[in-house]
Amino acid sequence: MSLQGNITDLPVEDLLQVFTMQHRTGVLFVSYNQYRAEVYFGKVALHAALIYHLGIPSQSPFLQGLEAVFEILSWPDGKFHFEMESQQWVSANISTSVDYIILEHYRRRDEQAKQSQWLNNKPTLLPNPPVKAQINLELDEWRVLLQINGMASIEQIASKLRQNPEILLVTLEDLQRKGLIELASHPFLADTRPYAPAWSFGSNGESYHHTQYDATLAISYHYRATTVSNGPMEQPAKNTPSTYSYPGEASGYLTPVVVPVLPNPERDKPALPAPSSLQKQNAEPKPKVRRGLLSGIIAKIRGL
Amino acid sequence: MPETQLEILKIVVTGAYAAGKTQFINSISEVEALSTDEAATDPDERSLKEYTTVALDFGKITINPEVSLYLFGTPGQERFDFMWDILAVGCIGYVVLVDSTRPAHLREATNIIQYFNQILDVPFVVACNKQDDPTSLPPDYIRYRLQLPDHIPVLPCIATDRESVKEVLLALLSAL
Repeated sequence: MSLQGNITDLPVEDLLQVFTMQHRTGVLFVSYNQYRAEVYFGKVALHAALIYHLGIPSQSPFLQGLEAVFEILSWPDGKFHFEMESQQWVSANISTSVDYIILEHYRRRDEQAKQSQWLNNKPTLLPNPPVKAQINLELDEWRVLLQINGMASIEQIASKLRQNPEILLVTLEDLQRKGLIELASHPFLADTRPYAPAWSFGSNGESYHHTQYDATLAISYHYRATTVSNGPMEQPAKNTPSTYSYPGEASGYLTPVVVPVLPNPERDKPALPAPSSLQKQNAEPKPKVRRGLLSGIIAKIRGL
Repeated sequence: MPETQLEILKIVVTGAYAAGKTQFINSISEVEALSTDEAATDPDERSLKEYTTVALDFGKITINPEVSLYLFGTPGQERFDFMWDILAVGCIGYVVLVDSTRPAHLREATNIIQYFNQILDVPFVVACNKQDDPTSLPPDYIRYRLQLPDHIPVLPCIATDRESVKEVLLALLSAL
């Protein structure tokens, strides 16, 4: 028996749910443009998924496992047919429930939609940064700050810095929290503007320069080349003592503390799933602590 | 007189590099904490601190003659992360220390939490260290950045302050 149709009429998420809930064993074939997907259903769960690129004369799949399923779920169009009790079979590469996969797919889809919105956001420098605290920026933050001019979008800045936009957003969020920039109409972040003042008049005055002209605020930051001698970024102009002034405020010097943070692919890789959504795998059995003993420990620590 | 069996309870103190784990244990341990610090070799990390823990930190609190609470600090550098599995065995809970002044390290803290969450089914608390620094991030913001649900305690902490360390341990024990 086989079932066929178009995924615009019967979406892939529905197909996945129907076949697993009904304990159907078989293979779902989906074709979209140059791609052909095979999704294998075991008796009780999803068994494997593979995507082949028809333009590549290789026998090895283009994508496989969970990522292949997410890819198929994202296809806007395509033809499918399902072969029950198919003779064709492959080794398992999925051990996750269909419910989880579908929820994760929706989460990714929503994030992608939000991302396309915030990528167009144009961060601006704040005209009235707080004073009397220390700027404590890391090299990554300086790199981003130098790109902000109110005209470049997050997407453009990410492209210029060759940085993952999601990682860039983390830095922007920090800069916003420190009161240095504003992310206009940010669609999904809470307001992260300063919890504490982030700018100060320093005493050394060797490393900051800031000018205001017309209605546009332009800020340029200069810092000790020596502090970031290993840094990968283009070095800004040599450290020049310079002044800082705002209308109605006294002039003075700012002293940012620059901590070099070199690119690290491991550290900078995209964020892992939230710990709250983690499923424990191979967890050690929970050691038991006797109730009476626990209160003894608490009393002892209180008394230390 | 029958020989008493000593019961040992274990708490792991983990966190990213230079989060303050060694200091945390030093502040509360009743014995001089055993530390296996060596000079940091990575120039990037050496700029943060000169010595790093390579195997474990160990501290002890005697609860009564039969029971002792052991504190084990994990090494912060990634190359020693094979020690994490060893230190995690049999622990009743763990503390994840976060350097509140270094947002770039929060991602690493997320990775650590995820890893320990996979190998351990015990409660944990997040201690936001260096709260005495004026540039430190507030615990609420750290909770948001680590995407932690409300039931996981995220506490302010100053690892050099014994009272603050006590509060963190008490919060962990309350979660058991």
